[in-house]
Amino acid sequence: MLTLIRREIRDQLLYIALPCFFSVVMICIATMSYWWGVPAPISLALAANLTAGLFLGLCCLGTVQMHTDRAGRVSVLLSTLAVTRGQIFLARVLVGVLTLLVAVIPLVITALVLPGQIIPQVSSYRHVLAAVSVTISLAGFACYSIGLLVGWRTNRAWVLIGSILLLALVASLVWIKGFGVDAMAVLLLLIAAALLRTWSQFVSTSL
Amino acid sequence: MTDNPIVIEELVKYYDGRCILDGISLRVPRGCIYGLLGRNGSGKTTMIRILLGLEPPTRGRTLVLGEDSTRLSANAHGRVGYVAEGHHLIQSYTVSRLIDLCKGLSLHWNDEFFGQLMETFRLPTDRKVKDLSTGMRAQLNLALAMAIDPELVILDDPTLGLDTVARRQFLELAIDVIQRQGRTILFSSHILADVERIADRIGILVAGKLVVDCSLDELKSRVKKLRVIFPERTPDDLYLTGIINQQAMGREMVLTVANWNPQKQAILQIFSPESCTEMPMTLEDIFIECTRPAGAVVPQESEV
Repeated sequence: MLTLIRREIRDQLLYIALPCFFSVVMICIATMSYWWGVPAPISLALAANLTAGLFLGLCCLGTVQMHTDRAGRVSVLLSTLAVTRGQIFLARVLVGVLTLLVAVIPLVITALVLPGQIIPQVSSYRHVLAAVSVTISLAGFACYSIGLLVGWRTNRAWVLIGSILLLALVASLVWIKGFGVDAMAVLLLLIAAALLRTWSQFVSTSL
Repeated sequence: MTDNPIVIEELVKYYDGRCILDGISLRVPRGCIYGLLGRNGSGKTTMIRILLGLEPPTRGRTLVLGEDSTRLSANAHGRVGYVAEGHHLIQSYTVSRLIDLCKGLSLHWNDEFFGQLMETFRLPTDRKVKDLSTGMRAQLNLALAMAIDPELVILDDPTLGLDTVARRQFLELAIDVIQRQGRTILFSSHILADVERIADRIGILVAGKLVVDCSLDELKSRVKKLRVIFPERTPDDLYLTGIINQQAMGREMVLTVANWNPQKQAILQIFSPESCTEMPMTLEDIFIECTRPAGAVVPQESEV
C-alpha cells in the first residue's frame, strides 16, 4: 500500500501542490494583513476566492489521478502485480485525504493564531472556526471525490462539463446551508455517493 | 496448490452485442505449456484478459490458481506473470522507476535472476519506457514478469511487432526462462512455429469457439489429410463424421478429417477407391484447415 501511495504522490506532485499553493497564499495574505492592518473584509474576500481555488485544485487532483490512469492504462499494469483494484483506488483516495489535510490544517492553525483574518471574528470564535473548518474540509473532499468520478470518464468534454456543474452544486450547497451540521450532512452524502460510484466503476469496468 | 492453475467453465463474452467467446471450457494442468491459437479477432486476448480479471465475463466462470478471476486476491495476482500484447508498461516512467515499482508491488522478487535477464537484454535503465523500441519493451515486460518467480505465466502474443531476429532472441530466452522451473504457461501467438516449438498442448479458437483442445502430438495424429482417387468420379454420398475440409475435382478428392480411425477407413473402403494416400500436415496446415471459414469443427478430445 505504501508503494502505491508513494507512486501516486510522485506521479501527481504538481496537482498535489496546487491546493497546497492556494493554502500557502491564503496564510501569507492573512499574515500580511494582520501585520499591515488591512481591513478584515478585504482579506476575507481574498480568502473566499482562494478557498474556491483550493476546491478547484482538489477537483483537478481527483480528475487527473483517474484520467491519467485511464489514458495511460496504468491500472492495467498495476492490477497484474500483487495488488487489487480496490487497493489501487484506496491508495488514490488516501493521497487525496492527505493533500486535503496538508492544505487545510495550516489554515486552521493560522485562523487560530490570527483570529479574524481568515474567518470573521465573532463570539464563540472557536466553535465557528471548528464548523467552518469541518465544512470546508468536507466541501474540499467532495470536490476531490467529484474529480475522481468525472476523471474516470474517457470523454474530456464530459470531464470538463461534469466538473464545472458538480463544483457549482457543491458551492451552492455550502452557500444555501451555511457552515453547519446541515451542510456537513449533505456533503457527507455527496462524498459517499461519488466515492461509491467511482469505486464500483473502477473495480468492475474493463481496464 | 491446485492441479489446474487455469480453469474456464462455459465462458461467454458479448461485446457491443457481438459474441466474442461462445461457451469456452478449458483446463490447463500444472506444468503444461498451453499454446492458444486463433486468427485476429478470434477472442484470444479477450479470454486472457478475462482470466486476469481485466475484463468481466458475460457468463461463465474462470478460475486462476483456484480463485475466481473477477475476485482475484493480491496474493493470486502476485503469483501470475503476464506479458501483454502491446506490453502495457507505464510509458512516462524510466526503466529503473518501473522496476522499483514492480519490485515494491511484488510478493517475491528474484534479484539475481532479474539481474541476469537485464544483463542479457542490455536494457538501458535510465531511459523512459516510451523511448524503448518494441523489442526492448517486450524484453523488459518478460524480465519483469519472470522476476516475481510466477507459478503461472501468461504470454499474450509477446512477439507481436518484433522483427525476426528480435523474435528469435526473445523466444530463445523465454524458452530458457520457462523451462527452468516447470511453470504452467499459457502462450498465445499468431506465429505457429513459435507455438509448435514451445507448446505441449494446443487450443485453437475459431470465432469465439474452442475447436481444438488436445496435445500437439495427439492433434497431429488425429487430423489426417487424405488424397483419395476413385475409379470414376468422386461419390456424392460420402458421409464421414469430423470432415474438416473436402475438395473434389474429377476422380480426386482431398479430405481433411478429424479423429481418423479404422471405422472411418472402413467406410471409405466401401466406395472402393483406387488409392488413398496420407498427406503430411504441419501445425500450420492443421490451423489453416481448422480456421477455414467453411471448415467444420474439430471434435474435442473426449469425442471418438
